[in-house]
Amino acid sequence: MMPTRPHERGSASLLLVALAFAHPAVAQQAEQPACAIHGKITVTRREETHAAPLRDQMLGMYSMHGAEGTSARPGAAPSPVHLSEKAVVYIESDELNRGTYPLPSHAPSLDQRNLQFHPQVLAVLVGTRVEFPNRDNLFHNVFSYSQPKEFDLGRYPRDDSRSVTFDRAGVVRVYCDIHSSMSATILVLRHPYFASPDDAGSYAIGHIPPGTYRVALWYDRDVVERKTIEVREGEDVELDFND
Amino acid sequence: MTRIALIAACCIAAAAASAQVEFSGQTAADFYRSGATTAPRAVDNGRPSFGWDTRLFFEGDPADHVTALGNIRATNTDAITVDYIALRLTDITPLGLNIQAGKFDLPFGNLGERRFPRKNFLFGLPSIYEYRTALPDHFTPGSDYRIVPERDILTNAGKGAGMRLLDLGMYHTGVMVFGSAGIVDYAAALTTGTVSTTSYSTDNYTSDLGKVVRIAVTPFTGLTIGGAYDWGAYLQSAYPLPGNEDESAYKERAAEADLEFSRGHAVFFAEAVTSTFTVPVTTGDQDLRVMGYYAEGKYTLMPRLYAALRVSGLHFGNAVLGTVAGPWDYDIVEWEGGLGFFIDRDVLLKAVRRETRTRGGSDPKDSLTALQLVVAY
Repeated sequence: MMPTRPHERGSASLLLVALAFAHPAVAQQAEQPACAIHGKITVTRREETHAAPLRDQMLGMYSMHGAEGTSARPGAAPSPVHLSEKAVVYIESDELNRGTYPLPSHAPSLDQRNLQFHPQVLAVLVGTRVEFPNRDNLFHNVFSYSQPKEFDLGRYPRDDSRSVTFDRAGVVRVYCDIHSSMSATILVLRHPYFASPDDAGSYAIGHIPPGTYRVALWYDRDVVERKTIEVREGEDVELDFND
Repeated sequence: MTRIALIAACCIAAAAASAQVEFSGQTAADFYRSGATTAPRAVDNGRPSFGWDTRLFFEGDPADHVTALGNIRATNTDAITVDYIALRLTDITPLGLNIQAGKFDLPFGNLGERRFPRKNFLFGLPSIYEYRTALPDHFTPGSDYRIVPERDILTNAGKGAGMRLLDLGMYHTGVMVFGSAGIVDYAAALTTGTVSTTSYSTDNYTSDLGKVVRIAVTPFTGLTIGGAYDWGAYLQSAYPLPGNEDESAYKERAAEADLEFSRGHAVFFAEAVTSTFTVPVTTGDQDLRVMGYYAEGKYTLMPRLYAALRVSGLHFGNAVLGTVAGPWDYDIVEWEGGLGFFIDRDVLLKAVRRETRTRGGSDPKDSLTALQLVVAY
């Protein structure tokens, strides 16, 4: 569907590093001898076409007369979704899962904008409250039937928001009941060692305790690559993903 | 039908040429049982029955601002039918005007996607879309100049064997212009027939065309108020009429108003339609009037589970048919309630109960219980 943007080499974003280090949970770990993982994600595969994305554009043929005013009009194109909104790198570790971490002071949000969720992949620490603001001038109806959290937020207008607290770890698939092409994934993790890349694909996860870990790249709807690394005291690890 | 198939083939070929054809669909499997009556809405004399319904949709973009759209239907009672096959030109002017040609749903009412099982809260369509009135849809020529014998209407009363007020999904062949300006949506179409004749008038039997105009206003998100007017010839017989008039002298005129409101977990739709058929009968031309309505709502009780309720009905006007004066068919009122449970995002199970009351006839009461499983893909 959405073509992958060409990645710009050599433009690693310090912003994400800063954000990662600014996370309260990570800040708590700052006193430990900890290191960072950073690297670059390159996605070369052609994106898969799911059956769902075009479905409401097709059925939109029946809602162009003002009926079902909740539907998109012909020609309304979803906004582009960038790599930073479709990928998350996170550590898979039972040891890290056993830790206790403070929740973020600000609730992350999953926007409904231009008939898309932004971002389309969102990683959060278990117990985090996520906001779902509607930025479109029409209704959306966000819901999920996933095991970790079933919810249905109903319909609410532009600039209004609802929130959901994700209190169980796991994968939560999020959809809009009105616009079936809209989908997103929330990864509810037991630790805060995760990061989203910038649009050039650069990412960084900071303040990781020394140890051997498996690091996963989640892209779009699933994990697309896993790598094992050893983090040593005082040393940063460079880890690239080429999918 | 041949023409439709040809258009379909051309559209698919054009879209396929650009390798951008996308398909989706939905299938419903039904179990239903009506009362063991001869009432118009009874099914299979009350015997328990199974049914199925499959819709396939396709869309292709052979060029910028050009889209080919299609919808094919197959059910246990109908042969494969091309309901929708059209080419759409979008945003062709700075005003954002759109033009569509082919076979498409008429811009009349707000049924929208609820015509399909996945978005239909209940089982079947409201009675104004499904109930067959006493006005015959295939006229048998009588002697002399009669085209619509009074007896055909009178004996049809309460039988559920004639023309529908709004003919199922109301698909017609024609051309339509539509667009929006601010909070206003508008559409105007020229077609081969009227809202009551879409099942059989793929070909035009008259020198007239059906005309439909619609305007809808969305004053704020969640509320849409619309209205439409449709007029045109509806007779299809080629037999001679009084004074050698053309069938186009006999019109159907239909007007409707509709409303959609939604907020939170509640969704509400309503529509009222009035239609007049000018009918040539031996006692002189008669205007057969009918008014229909429905209102339906859905409330999501909890994730996966919703409850829905619908009331619909038809009220028939008076006419003089031979020596009989009075309503030309029996009024009906129908209540329908049900629960829907989403087993998965694209798998919906519905349990529905329908109660129909007819004012007159041999079986004024009828009911239907249905289970429906819908899968979208």
